Amino acid sequence: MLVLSRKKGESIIIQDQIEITVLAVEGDTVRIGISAPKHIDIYRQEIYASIQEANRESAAPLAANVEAFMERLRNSGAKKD
Amino acid sequence: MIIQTSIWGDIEVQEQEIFHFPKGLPGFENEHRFALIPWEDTPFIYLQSLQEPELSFLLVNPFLFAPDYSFELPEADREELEIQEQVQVYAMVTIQKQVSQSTMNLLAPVVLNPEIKTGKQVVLHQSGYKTRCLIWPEEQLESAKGGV
Repeated sequence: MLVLSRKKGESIIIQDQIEITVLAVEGDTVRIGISAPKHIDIYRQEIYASIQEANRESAAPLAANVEAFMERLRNSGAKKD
Repeated sequence: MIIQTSIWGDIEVQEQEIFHFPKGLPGFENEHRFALIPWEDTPFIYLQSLQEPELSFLLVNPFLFAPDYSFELPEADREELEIQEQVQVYAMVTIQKQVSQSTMNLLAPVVLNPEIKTGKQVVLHQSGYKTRCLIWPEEQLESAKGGV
């Protein structure tokens, strides 16, 4: 991991296309501005991780669970207005 | 074409049911081609990887279970998917052991462009939606009465 120090208002350039600027530092919170091409997806790490985790849990549901789910669906079908 | 699946064995899918996910899905970044296989007579549909027979996801039309669900598709995602007019939105389902507690991911819907057959799981930043929203929230209330 590359480690470097930046002051408020200073920035970092990654691959001449992505610019990360330190906008403000307040206590233990750093506000960052990111300029990047549109096709680059930018996520808060914990949000991306939570989606990865949810996807892994959703992947290839067990046939038995799908069967139970289907049963549940049939029962609710009549109730749904 | 014939594709392999762990749930139904070898099945035939039509070319128009195959979607390309250029970035894959979070957690499955190397899976780029999926077939959409409808679960007949239900609002559910399977997203089956063409590369990995074992890999499939259950998707649902989220608006049916969350009628208030709404979001603005970010401009960058719209451009990436080259959406002109048609768009399809699905939520990924997680079937829980207790099926009535099953959830859908409203934070990161699967958005498809049916015209050019591309797809992406879009993350709705700052939307307040969660990755695990109960499909049948009323049951949560009922079961919570005694517990909490």
